[in-house]
Amino acid sequence: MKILIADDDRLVRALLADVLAGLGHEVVAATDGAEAVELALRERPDAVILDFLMPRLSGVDSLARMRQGGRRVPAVLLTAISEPSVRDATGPDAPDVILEKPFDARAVARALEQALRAP
Amino acid sequence: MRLAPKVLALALLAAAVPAAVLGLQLAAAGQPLRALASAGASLAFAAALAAAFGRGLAEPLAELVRGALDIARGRFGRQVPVPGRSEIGDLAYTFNYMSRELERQDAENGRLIRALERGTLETVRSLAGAIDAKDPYTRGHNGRVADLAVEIGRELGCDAATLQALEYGGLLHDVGKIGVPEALLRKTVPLSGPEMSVMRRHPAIGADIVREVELLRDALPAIRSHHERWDGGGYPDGLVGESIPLVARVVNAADTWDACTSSRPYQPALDPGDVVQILAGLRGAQIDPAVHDALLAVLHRRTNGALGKLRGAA
Repeated sequence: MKILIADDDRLVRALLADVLAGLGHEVVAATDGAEAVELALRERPDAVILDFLMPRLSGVDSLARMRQGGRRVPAVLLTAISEPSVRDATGPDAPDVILEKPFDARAVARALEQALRAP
Repeated sequence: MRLAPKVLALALLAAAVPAAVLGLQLAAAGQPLRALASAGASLAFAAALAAAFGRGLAEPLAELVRGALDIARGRFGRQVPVPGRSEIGDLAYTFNYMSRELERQDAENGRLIRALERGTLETVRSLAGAIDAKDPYTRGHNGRVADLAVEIGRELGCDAATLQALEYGGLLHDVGKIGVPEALLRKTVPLSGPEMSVMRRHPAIGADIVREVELLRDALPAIRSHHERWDGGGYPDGLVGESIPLVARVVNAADTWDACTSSRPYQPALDPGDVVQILAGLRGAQIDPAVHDALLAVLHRRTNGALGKLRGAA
């Protein structure tokens, strides 16, 4: 499967890419929200893993733009803050799974699986 | 009340009740010393915990206040330490993100403004190029007048807005020549009376052309009044002395210098040394004395002292 990851932290991108490659996925990476939206339109990924706070466009706003076209791409939102309002988001723009930083390889695999199973 | 003493008072109050109960029980059992010791120890323990916790709350918040003050003063990009994972940690983390985004957007705005200013100047230059196309003998004249006018403005200590007006005014001072028949512009013999009155309409025509352009508002007086004379003998309004806008007095001097030192349909280029003499004769008659002196200082600098020795001559 093709997975789009977006995070402004190079270490997080490297870690995610390693984990996803280990699971046999193809990875495309963006360094900010605007680039992620652009890449999502061009690459049509099967799922996206987005950081909540990224330069230019937040993960939530990026996801809203990706889904504007009507394509409901499964999404995992990464966040370093445990603010409940992020967690309680609902509606068509809400991420399927929220993954709190820091995370390990198992947590990433589980979150991705959960997002892909979401209706 | 500050946060740290508040937490301390709260902890002491909470610890006082069990300490008192324990102390009373021990005292009733006939052990007043142990009663005092245990009550004191529990209060001291509560105080130490509360002090540490209070400091842990107050210090990161103080950092955030300092960071917020920096941002309020326009110093974007300031980062504060993130004190672990708590609501305060989340606040610090989000604050840092906000600060970085503000810095990025501020830089982006600066870039856009500079691009816009460049685009505007290019547009004005191309408009000035339209005058050149109509009057080939003056090719490059507008650009040279603009450069010289800005240098004179600097010499006079003008502010940035005035220097900008001098640049635009210098570039566009003859824009009204678009409304003058080409046959007149290219004439090599002296103009007749009626012809001269047509030619003398170009400052007013130019001012009418750019009147609606907000951006050129400060340059407008330079266009309309660049043929006024210090002694009041100029046109179109016959203004005298200081009532002629400064930008117009400066462009007038720069225009005169460049007209004399470049070749025209009615005369070849004159020797710069001779032109300095001519300018000295115009000082206080056509040209504002202060502007004349500033022009000479600029020429002095431009020619490494070969010109402009007559500074102050009248």
